[in-house]
Amino acid sequence: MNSPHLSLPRSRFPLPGEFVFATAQYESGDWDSAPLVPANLIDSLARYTSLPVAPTGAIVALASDDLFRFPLVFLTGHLPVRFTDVERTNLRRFADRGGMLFVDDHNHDIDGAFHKTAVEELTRAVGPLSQLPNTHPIYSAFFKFPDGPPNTSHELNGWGDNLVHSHLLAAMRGNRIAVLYSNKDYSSEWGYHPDNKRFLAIDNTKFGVNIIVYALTR
Amino acid sequence: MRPLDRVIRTRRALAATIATRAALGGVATILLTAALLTATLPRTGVGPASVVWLVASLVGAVALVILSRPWSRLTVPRVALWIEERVPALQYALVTAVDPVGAGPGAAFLEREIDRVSWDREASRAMLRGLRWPALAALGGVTAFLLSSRVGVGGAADRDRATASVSTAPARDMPAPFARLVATVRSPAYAGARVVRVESPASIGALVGSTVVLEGSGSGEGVTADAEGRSVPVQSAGTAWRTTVTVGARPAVIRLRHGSVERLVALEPRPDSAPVVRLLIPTRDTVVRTARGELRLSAAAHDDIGLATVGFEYIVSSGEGESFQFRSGTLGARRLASGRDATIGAALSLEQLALEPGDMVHLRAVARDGNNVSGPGAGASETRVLRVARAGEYDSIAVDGAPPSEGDKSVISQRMLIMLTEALEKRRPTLTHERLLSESRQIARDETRLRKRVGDIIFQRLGDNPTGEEGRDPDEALRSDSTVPATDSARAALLRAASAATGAGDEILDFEGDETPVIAINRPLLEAYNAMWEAGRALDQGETGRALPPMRRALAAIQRARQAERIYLRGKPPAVVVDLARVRLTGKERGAASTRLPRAATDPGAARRAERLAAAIELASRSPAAAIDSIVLLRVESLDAAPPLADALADALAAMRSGRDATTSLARARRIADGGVRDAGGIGVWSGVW
Amino acid sequence: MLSRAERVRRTGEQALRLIAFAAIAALLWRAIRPPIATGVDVAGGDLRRALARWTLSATPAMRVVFDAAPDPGTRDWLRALARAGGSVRWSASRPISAAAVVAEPAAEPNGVTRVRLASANGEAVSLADGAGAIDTLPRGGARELELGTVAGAVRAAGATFTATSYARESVVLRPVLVLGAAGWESKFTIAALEERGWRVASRVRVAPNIDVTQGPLGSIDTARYAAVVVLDSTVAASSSEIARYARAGGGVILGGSAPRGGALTGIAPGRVGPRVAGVAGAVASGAPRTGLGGYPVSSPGADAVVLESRDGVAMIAARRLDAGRVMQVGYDETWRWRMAGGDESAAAHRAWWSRLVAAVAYAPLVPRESGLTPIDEAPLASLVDALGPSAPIDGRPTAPTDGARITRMLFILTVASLLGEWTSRRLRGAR
Repeated sequence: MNSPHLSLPRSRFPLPGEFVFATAQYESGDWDSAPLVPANLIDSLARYTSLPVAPTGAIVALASDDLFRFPLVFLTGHLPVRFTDVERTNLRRFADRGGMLFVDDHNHDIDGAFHKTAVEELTRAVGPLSQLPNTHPIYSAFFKFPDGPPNTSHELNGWGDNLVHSHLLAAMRGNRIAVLYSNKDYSSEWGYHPDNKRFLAIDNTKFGVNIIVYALTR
Repeated sequence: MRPLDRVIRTRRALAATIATRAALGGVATILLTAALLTATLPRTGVGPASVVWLVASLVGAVALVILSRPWSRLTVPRVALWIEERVPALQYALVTAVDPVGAGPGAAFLEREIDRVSWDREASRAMLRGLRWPALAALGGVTAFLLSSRVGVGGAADRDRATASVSTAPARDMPAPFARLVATVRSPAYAGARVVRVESPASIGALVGSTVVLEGSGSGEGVTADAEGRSVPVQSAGTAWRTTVTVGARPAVIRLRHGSVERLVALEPRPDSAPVVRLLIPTRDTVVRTARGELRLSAAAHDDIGLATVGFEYIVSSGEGESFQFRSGTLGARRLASGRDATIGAALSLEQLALEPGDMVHLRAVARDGNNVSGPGAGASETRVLRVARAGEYDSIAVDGAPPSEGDKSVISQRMLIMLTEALEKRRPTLTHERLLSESRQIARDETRLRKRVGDIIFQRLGDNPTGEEGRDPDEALRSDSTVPATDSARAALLRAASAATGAGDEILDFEGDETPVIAINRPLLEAYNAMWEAGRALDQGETGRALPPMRRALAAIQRARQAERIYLRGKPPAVVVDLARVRLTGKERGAASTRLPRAATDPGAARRAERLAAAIELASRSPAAAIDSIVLLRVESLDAAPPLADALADALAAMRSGRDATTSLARARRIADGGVRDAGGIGVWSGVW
Repeated sequence: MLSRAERVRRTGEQALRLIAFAAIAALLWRAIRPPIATGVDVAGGDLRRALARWTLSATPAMRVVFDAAPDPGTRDWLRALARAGGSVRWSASRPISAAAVVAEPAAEPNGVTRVRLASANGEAVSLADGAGAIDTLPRGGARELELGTVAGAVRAAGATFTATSYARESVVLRPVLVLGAAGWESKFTIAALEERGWRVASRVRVAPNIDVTQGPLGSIDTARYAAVVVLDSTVAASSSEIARYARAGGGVILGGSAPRGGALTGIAPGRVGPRVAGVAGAVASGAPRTGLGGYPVSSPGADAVVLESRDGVAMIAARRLDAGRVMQVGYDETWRWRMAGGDESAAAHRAWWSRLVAAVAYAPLVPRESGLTPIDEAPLASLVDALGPSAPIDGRPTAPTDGARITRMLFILTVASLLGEWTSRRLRGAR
């Protein structure tokens, strides 16, 4: 599969040097369960930084060679994650060459099928996931998060596993994050139309900006 | 037989004898020359063995030519003379008889006299005597060559074994404790506890967790052993000593010392691979209308050492949108006593799983091996998905596989509007009326937009103007007086449908002709639509307290609509295009500068390994044994850090230990260690290799 | 009574005996006679003995015939004899090829050595070091090689010469400064250089007045940085400083559209052409950079050296600028090569960026402790420098007529005479 799926008008393909927010498409689950996250984070990136960014995101299949065109890829879902052999091989190469995968458990449930299967598959493909210390540079890459990953309203409202997860997990390549894994359901937290930001006293997408800036600069 | 014929027969035999002499003499010359050169060439380990054989072959060829010269003199008269010399009884009758001039009238007489004498025995004896010395010379050549191989660099091929390498120093140079070193390797219990003996080992490859016992002769006094800097105890057992180590996960070198002599033995762990599993049946993902019957499963597993358990795993996912439940289980599990291959089968009863429309079953086969040293290795097959179709999937509305996104967005937006309204209601006492009205109407506008989206979902198939509000200013829609009797517009129809569906109105909705029956319309969405309308009117008047109940009813209705199965709208999620120019740098907060930590060099040890290899190659010409030790240590270090270099060094070590020319393999190892030689082809006008 | 033929034969045998005895006597005399000084002494193969002889007894005119370029020791000895008052002339029994080899440290981390070799076309040259053979050039010519490690001296050997060299200096490498906007290109360029062993300082812009920085950041001068890599046109504010740095000896790499920024336009080797796209899918091919897009170097200046072209369009060009060097690299998304080029692409990307920086870096040399290995980088040139050009004796080159050859001839004569005499005697039946 080598045909990229770019959700862009034909007249607006990414310009050279632009950051393109890519969402991973994988075979086994509901990969597109957070369709508004890309637009929201693109909006945030434009609000706070001067980085050139494509106005809409792209969808890229993990099994496709096009994966290597997007060094930062977002993956989420509710359903069990079972990578095919091609997806697994691609992910390992992606991580080895310098790519970064951000995975978020849309179920917000460490007892759920997404978490258990995703952790197993990511460990198999890229390497073991270990707790990321809350003093890691990603928490100060742009905005400061002295207490580590910001909590989501879903955690605080007792949805999912009823837990507030104090740490994110990561698989490393040297001192660089290759896979960033979250149980905090940022997919729901950030899954709203960017125009609705004006209703929020505090922009809850700032940590997403940190993730992107970390990926682009480390 | 005539005398001439008898002489010709003898001549043939003599020719064969000469040929045999020449061959034996040539072979003897070759072997003696090779033995002489082999024993006297310096032991470099990198010398050209082919030159020895070339020179020996040339000398042997010269000897063959010289020894073959008598062949040309084998004429009939000469042969007759040769016979006469050995059989005096012929009294030159034979020579006369075979004379080309002829014997004259006495030929018949001569023939009779010659017939009475037989010379076969004498001739045979003479020919055998002629072969005696060449045969002895050939035998001597063979002996000399074999002896030279033992003392020179032309090592015997039978000493070059993959598992039992030649020791790093000739046996006669080794002190007694190391002179006859034997390794006993016992694999871990789960791998069958096989025992292998290796004589005079230089490197031992074994599974992680294997025990290696090194034994040597003597009391072991003065013998020390260490592995990777840690001392290993040496026990004395009568006339032998021994030391025991366990093969760890990383390559290591055991150093045995006795006085100033050191003996190295490399330990190369062989990892235990995880099982490889293939799911044979089902061969692809499946969608079924109803979950009935049995699904046949079949899988095959293979392990390099031995399988322990094999079975199938499944996960059932139920739900949609944001709400899912999961169940998991196993079936067909088997525990295996031994064996590297297994095929399993099972039947999955779909009725027992109690699947509902929309449920998915993820299936795979899993196998584990018996590795209880570094943990069981687990292998899994590809996953197959069986899905039970929803009823709505057979409607023409179904387009593509995607959960309903509009509902989700509405839920989150509606919740947000509720939160904003609640916050505004709390601040009411502190706000002026104008301010309250302004903010309340802002919320009302968004409520209207959301309501429009819900209406679009419900009535998208009513035509190109589903709600009658498209293209119109939402504020304009709000300003219309809902008490004015509605014209028979689509919007009025929508209101009536909503009222009827929610029981809020008196009118019984009736559809004429072939219009879409209201029964197909999602009731909860209609309720939501109605409640949103009511809330919007209250917000527009600044009645935030009065707006909250219908807003909450709308939220509840939307959540119920997500569970509804009658309408399951699918399609690609909407591509939201961000207006970058509008939002660029409008964020209320500013980020902060940060510092980056440097990355480490990819392989900081590569340059050091290349230097060590170059030094070892230089050392080879002065001290081959020390060079071999250096390369052994380098190879052990490279097994993890640079496996291609380790492979190349293994080839070089094999050649060096057997006395073969290792130049090519060392050059190859050096190229790998250096990363190759970069060649610009020519000297350009700018330095640097492009 | 002997026949005439028989008498002639016996006379011949006696003559051969006499010749053999005479040759043996001559050999004996040559072995025991003291050395004599002659007006003209010619040495050939047994040069060491001739040198010793000339040193012990002053010889006014010495002639040497070489069959290969002499080693530095012999050459220096002859030069000393010439300067001591004698006249040393030399010629060659066969043409000695002109060749030269030079080893010097490349401006890259991890001790890379650059070896330049020049030899006559057509003659095979083998290159080796203390650890063995490196490469063989079957037809000679000019070559430039980069070697990861060199053991001892580098030796280039042909049929008539052996040239040796080793890097007598070490290179002092300072950090590389990378400037630009945050993005994939800056991220992966910095990563490539660091992974290759360079120390990197960087400043990448994320938002107005918000940068991600690394390393020692100070004024841009050669005391701090070996090279400055500018990846885009967002560093216009520092362009004057960068231009000054280049003129003062620094190395500057202008990537992508960087030459459009301020004072950088004046120092770039060429202008920035309209962007061209890469060939789709070519990044994973054997010519990966054809798959990359970028800004060609248009209208390169008269002093610009085009280092890489594509479809007739220059993509990389360099120039010297006063004491420094400036390189314009048109590619602006080399990161795609690393990510999409294949399993070896990351290593190739690293090596390529490292070589770009090495080609312009300010890297002063410091002498190293010299080893005991004598160097002889250009044997023929050194010979001519020491003894002057070749001078054929009496207008034509002479054949070597030294003592060793005479001795060999006398020996052969002796053996041949004795063998002939014995053969003749035996054939006539005598003992």
